[in-house]
Amino acid sequence: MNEKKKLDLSSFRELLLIGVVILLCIIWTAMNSQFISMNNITNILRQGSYTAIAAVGMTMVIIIGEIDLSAGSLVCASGLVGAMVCKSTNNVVLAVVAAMLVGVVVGGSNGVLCAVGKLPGFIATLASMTVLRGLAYIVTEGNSVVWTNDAFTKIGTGYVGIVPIPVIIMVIVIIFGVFLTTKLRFGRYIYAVGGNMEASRWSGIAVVKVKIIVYMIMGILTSIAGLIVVARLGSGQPSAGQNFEMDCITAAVVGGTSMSGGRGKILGTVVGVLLLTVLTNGMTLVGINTYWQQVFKGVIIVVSVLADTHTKKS
Amino acid sequence: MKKKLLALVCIAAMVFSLAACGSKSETPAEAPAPAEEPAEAPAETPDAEPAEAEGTEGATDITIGVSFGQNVHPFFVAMQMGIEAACKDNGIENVNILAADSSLETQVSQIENLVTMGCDVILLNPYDSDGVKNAVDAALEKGVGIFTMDIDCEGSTAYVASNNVKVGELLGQWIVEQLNGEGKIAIIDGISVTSLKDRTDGFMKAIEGSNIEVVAEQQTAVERDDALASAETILQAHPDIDAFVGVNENSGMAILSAVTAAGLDDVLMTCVDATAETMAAIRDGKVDVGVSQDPYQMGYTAVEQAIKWKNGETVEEFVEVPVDYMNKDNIQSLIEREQGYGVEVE
Repeated sequence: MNEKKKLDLSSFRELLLIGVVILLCIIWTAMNSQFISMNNITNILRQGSYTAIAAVGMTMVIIIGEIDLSAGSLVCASGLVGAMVCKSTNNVVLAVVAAMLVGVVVGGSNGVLCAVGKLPGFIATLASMTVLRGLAYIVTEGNSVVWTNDAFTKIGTGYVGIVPIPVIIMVIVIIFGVFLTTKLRFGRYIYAVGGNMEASRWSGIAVVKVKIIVYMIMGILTSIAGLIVVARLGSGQPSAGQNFEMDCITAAVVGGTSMSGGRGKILGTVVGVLLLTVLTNGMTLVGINTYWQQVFKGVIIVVSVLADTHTKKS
Repeated sequence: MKKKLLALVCIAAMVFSLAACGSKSETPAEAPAPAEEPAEAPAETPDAEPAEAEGTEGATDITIGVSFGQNVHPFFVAMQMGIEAACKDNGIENVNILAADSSLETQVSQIENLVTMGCDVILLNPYDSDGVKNAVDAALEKGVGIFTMDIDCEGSTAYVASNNVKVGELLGQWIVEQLNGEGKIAIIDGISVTSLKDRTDGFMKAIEGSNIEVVAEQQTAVERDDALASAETILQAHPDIDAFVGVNENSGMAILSAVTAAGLDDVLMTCVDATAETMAAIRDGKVDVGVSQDPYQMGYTAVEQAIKWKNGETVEEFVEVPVDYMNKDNIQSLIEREQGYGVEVE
């Protein structure tokens, strides 16, 4: 009985979020009819795509009861590596592979530090965040990295038909995330580890392995996001991706992922990203000041977490 | 329970509608400038041509300490090269150049250490204008001259920088001229860093009184990804603008990407600072005009001023390093100048 009620409420919560998104859309459209234009919808999806991709990974990391603060630096680092490889070899495949390799290595080492080294994820990823940002400035000497291969730029700016390539990548990643967390045994392990680590260890789940793999997935997804960001900007920037991890965490939290682990849904996070993107896009479209935008984002976080704690209590 | 949630949604909705009404109002007070913003010349071989030395004789016994907020950015690399060149030209051997790696605490202890080491003057690029105040006061009390570069702090003996208000004014005047004093424009600027705020103020002042209307403004110039998202959205709302103004490298390049992606070809664009990307964009005719600063000259001038001060001459409180337009006509010579500082231009 109790179980059932909880389930109902959590799906109610997502509907509620979608309701807020729709409400926002109506408000923005009323204020500027351009909002609902095909072009702007494409814009919103493209602007949200890279955050959504990394946020899918972030949700898994938060579900296992950890956090990844290095996402922003990794977006920057993997993007830079991609840009540099593309610049020197002019080979897009090689550039993409190199960037994702950076993601695997960084994610993997985050996971090892956290699961084997027993460091709190907060500390381990705080360290890699600082290291990566420092390296980005050292390697580039503060300069931007520019390439000439158009195919690489297409990752961030290209279209298939009328659908932007980043959006297609995003959809694939979301499907992967949902499938992994809801259909596979590994997905159940993720929730178990986050819900009660000791119990999962006793019941025979390889907690260490689960943590490392989750961090690795996070690393790979973040590096994909990094490739999109760098291609979109048209140049590798050592300052790119500042505060990016916060956007991912915000989206996950707004989407109903519990910061204490064990609870959360990929789709909730996706709606969270959509909500935040629609909010920013709409506010810019109707000409609201940049800093008021930050204030309202903060309000959204508080409101949604309040809603979350209240759902939990009942 | 459901009622509670509904109530929350209603509150959220109200907040949004309030937001929508109360938009475009005043913004939070400006934060003190952290490390300056994008500009020229990366490191590598310091083969820059030594600018003309004014050879103030007898200045060789001066001891100079330098503290940068950070020195990895090309802008500061060029500044450091200017300092080194000026010291060489004037035969100054006691120069100690430090960088605080974007940490205020480090910079404060660097200032203290430089004073203890017996420096006559400290050339300072404050990481935070307010944060260095105590250390600067203590240094001044010991009779050490503080020469700030690019970013000022209270109490400094002299402040050597480009006039960022002038940078904004130049952009504004150009826009007014190009549009014959009439038209719709959008701007991506910033208020979180003093240099950007000054440029914005200068720009707005320059277009005041004309019939140019700013139909959209977003303060996202500091980060290129934010600036790009803003630029795309602004073009969505106002595809009919005549000019789109960027006040630094990041905003200018973001605007260029957004305008290109939107397929608009009659929008005038601006940017600031002579970087590899902005110079290439102007050379290739993608961006119409820019305003460039000269950080090399900033460092060079700071040393000259310090020598004057040590010799008992009076120095101006604000020493302006000239800024100028960069456009298709002069871009090649600028590119050559920056290549001299080690910038690679594709």
